[in-house]
Amino acid sequence: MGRNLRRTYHFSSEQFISWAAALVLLMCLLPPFLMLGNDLFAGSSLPTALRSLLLSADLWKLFAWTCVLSLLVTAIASMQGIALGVLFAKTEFSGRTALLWVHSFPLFLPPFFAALGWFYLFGTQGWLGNEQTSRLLFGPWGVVLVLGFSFAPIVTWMTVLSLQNIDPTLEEAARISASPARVIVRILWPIARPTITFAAMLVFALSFSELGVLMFLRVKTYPAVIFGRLGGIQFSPGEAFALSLPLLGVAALFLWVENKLKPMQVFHTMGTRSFQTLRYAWGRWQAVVTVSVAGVVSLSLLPYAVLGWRAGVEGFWEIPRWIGDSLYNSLLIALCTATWIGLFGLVVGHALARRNAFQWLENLALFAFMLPSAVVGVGLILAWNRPITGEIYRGMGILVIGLGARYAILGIRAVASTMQRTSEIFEQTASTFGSGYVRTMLRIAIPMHRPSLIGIWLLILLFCLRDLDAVITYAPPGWATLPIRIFTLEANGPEHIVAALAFVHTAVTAALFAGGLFWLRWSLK
Amino acid sequence: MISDVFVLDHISVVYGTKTVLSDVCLRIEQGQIMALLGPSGAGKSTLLRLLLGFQAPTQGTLRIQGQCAATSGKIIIPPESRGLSVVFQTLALWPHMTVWENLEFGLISQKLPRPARQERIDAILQRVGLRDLSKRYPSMLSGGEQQRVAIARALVTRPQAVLFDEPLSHLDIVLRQELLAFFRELFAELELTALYVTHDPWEARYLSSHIAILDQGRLAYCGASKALPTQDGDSAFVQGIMRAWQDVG
Amino acid sequence: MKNCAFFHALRFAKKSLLRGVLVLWVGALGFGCQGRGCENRPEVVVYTSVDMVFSAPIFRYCEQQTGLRVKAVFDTEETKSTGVLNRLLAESKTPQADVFWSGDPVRPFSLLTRGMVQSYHPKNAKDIPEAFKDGNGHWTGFAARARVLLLNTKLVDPKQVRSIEDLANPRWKGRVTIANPVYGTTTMHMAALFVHWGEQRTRQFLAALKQNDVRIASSNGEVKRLVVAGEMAIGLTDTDDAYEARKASRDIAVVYPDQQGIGTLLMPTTAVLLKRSPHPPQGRQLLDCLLSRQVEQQMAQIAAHMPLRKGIETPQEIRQITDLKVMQVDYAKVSATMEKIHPWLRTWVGI
Repeated sequence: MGRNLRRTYHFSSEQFISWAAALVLLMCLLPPFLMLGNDLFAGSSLPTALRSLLLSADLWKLFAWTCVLSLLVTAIASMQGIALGVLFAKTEFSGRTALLWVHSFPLFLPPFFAALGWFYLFGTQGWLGNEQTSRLLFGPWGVVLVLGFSFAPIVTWMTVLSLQNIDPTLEEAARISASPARVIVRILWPIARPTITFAAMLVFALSFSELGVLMFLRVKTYPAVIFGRLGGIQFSPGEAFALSLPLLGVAALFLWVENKLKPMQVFHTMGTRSFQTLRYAWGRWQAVVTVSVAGVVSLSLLPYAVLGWRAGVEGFWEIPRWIGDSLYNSLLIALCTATWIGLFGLVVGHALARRNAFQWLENLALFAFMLPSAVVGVGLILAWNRPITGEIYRGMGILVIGLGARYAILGIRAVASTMQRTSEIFEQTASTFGSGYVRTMLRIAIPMHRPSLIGIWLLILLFCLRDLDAVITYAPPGWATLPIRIFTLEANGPEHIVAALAFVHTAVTAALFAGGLFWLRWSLK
Repeated sequence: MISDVFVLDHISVVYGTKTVLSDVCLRIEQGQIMALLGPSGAGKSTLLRLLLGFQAPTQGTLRIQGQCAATSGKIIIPPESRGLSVVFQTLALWPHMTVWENLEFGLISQKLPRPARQERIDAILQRVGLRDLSKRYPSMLSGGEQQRVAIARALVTRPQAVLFDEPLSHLDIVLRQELLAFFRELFAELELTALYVTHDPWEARYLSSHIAILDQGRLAYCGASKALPTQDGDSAFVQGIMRAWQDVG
Repeated sequence: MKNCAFFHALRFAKKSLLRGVLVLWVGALGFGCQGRGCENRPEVVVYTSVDMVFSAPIFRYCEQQTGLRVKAVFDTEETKSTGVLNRLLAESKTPQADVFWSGDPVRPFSLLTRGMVQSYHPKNAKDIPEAFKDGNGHWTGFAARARVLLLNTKLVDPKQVRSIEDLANPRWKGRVTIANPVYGTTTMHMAALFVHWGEQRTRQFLAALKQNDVRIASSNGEVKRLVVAGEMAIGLTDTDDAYEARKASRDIAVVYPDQQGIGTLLMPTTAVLLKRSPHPPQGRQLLDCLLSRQVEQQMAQIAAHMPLRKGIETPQEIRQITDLKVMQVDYAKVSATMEKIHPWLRTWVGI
């Protein structure tokens, strides 16, 4: 017996990882780098811009105001998310699973749809609106409520996952001598807190970079000013870059806090379900809890239903005239980007999980996520609008690259945390049996994590589908997505058409969401 | 004809400031069953990873069948080209594949045509007594059956050597004895070359022709398992092993 | 060969993950083929700062007339007139657009001064008055808007507000709104005042406006909303927004300011052909269509824009330019002033 040493050529993991890392670098670093370079060559406006930024009390005030606004959004989302998360994860009531999924849905829609729906309800001429409601909506409180409700599912899910992943013996040991409420407060909450803190930070980051809702509700924030600098008559990329530096400071702070939380297993436990979760029954209060949760969930869905109502038959009738290619564009771009991010996220995320390498690449992707999308947009134009890359720039390619840069972090992080949940021994065994990197990935790593990877792919797909800010600056002619079309039409377009288009987007997302869940369930079987 | 399957030539592995393996020299010849003993943290797993190709030595050279497989800081022959098999403590049976697919995986790597694969898998499943269970997934098997699948998977590719990483350590005593007997029978029948990592002197004595003892990263003893002389300089662990060895003998 | 990556990828496609992705891909492609992509018409690329709700039907009309496929990039309301302009500037090394249809007559000068505009005399533009087109064929104006005062008659008597200077009247303190002058047509309006009144007087006017607690809205659309809602009594906006406001509420009056003074600022939309564009012949074809009498007629009907040509019918609410005293300005000068005063305007706004 004896298998000889073989000299067959395999694509090595290093080759793949290097290529994937180079792609992430190209996508995330090249645009801001070129923007800076372009500014330096064209007689830099950066030093002047930095000086005026440092000296401008108004800008710092605006920055602080944006921080306060984002903190308020985080507070609303956290309060709602933690309460619902505890109810969903630790208690038993009718319709629990269905309500959890329905509650998640608004996360996958552009938040400005919710603003639009509330406007049709509470605007001056809305069904329930008057001047007071309109003033409330078109102001900071409107922003806080709209974004708070839109982002709450992030906190809910992280709370659910973190609570479900706690070793039940810890809880059972405490239950012997304490009430369920005390167990939740004294045992479960402290263990779950790092993950929930991370979720809150994510909400803060998302609300800080949000543009659509802020523009629609006419609330001036710091990122909107940066967008304006690139939209103003004095096209000044260098200045916009200088203005984005404080945001990079926020990103650095984000990373620092996250690294502090990491030893407490922030993300690594995500999705693990190796234990039987202990759930507390509500007894005779069950119906009350179900109705209350359903009420909160319905409230977050209400603005989307209002869109359909506002559209009316007339609005839906006119859809073919106005929708053009935008729905097709949205779907195709989201599909391609999700697959694209999935591919390099798989390679880099796997490397991150198995070798604990490429931490810097993950950090870079986070910076790209935090950088104002208008700045990234102009950087992308400078980077890719060249004769040699014309085909990419004029078509879908640039959108896939741009969205890839924005959501790379999602793919890398999620894949890494999924892979970290299983021992690398399965892959090592495959290597021992003569399997190279590609085959080990395709036959062992991917199939073993299939449900999670489907989930990640769907998550990225839905996030790309909802994106507005990242693509509005550079969407090529003929490639406007449905959110762009709605946002462009929203200002002076007929309300019923805008509402109808937004409702179509909502319905398509709902169909994909439901299809995705069905696919996940089928895959888990 | 090269008779040495593995030659470890002054191998050291250092992680940061911690020396995990220090100047290890070891030979494993064709047909030899070598047991590798050592306390926790002695460097057994690192040595195993080194042989498998998941770890490069910081210093020294590893030769497999006369070819340089790894040398100071560099893996020259990657794991998939070393012609080895492994049975891990957790068995690492791929949960998404049936017994048949688990076995077929390595044969596809060898580009064997389908009929040949079929023949080999049938034969090995017959040998380990699992022919009827080939369509089952690992989760549908008992602990003993899973062990048999793992060993069948390790043997079906006809490797140069099989490496065992404490495969029986978490089993109950009855199953363990049954499987030990099965292993010994197989080793004798197939004239295997194997490195069997364990911390149980009885298991080592029962299965192996040779023994190596690792202690704090150093090779404390290496030789035939018949006689183990104690030396004055041996650590408490090594002396404990020696005494246990004499007792089980 | 069976061990290569492609083979494994194909094998893997049998499994659910890729199979699912593939099904969705095929579905999306099939769906898309029905909509577009399978057609083979020549293309033309246009960037426009004219509202999509008005410009999109015009492009559809031009597609029917010319057989071209018009690919358009539209501006958002908040960056109106400057978003696509800056995109044109950012793309200047490798232009992607053939035509720029600007919502006002001054932004194209930013392109003209940078040598990005190609001369062309559209064959349909002969009956457009000389004042609204360049003799060298660099730009041609048509379908215009005017800057008007929007009044909520519940809060203010239209007879009491006649001039732009009334906005700084302390009587209306805290009840006046204008759009952010950093963007859109308001920038042009301020620059026109700088040109017409001179720097000192305009700065004094703006300082007085600030003292009067003027509310800076994010856009002209927002000005319309605030006045219609009664949150503000007076707003400075464009005729198209005023037209929409009149449709939305009976309590709205529109005043063409300074008819006894400097006149009302008129802003024709302007079309230019871009240099080094990807499809020059198609660009010229589209310009011919945009500058046709029929398009100006449509712009009057659907977008409440004032025709520059004589003899085009307009809705009742829309005045003919012949009935107006128009502010006499050199658009090139206004454009140059706009770039000059922009940093000062930003400071004035406070960003």
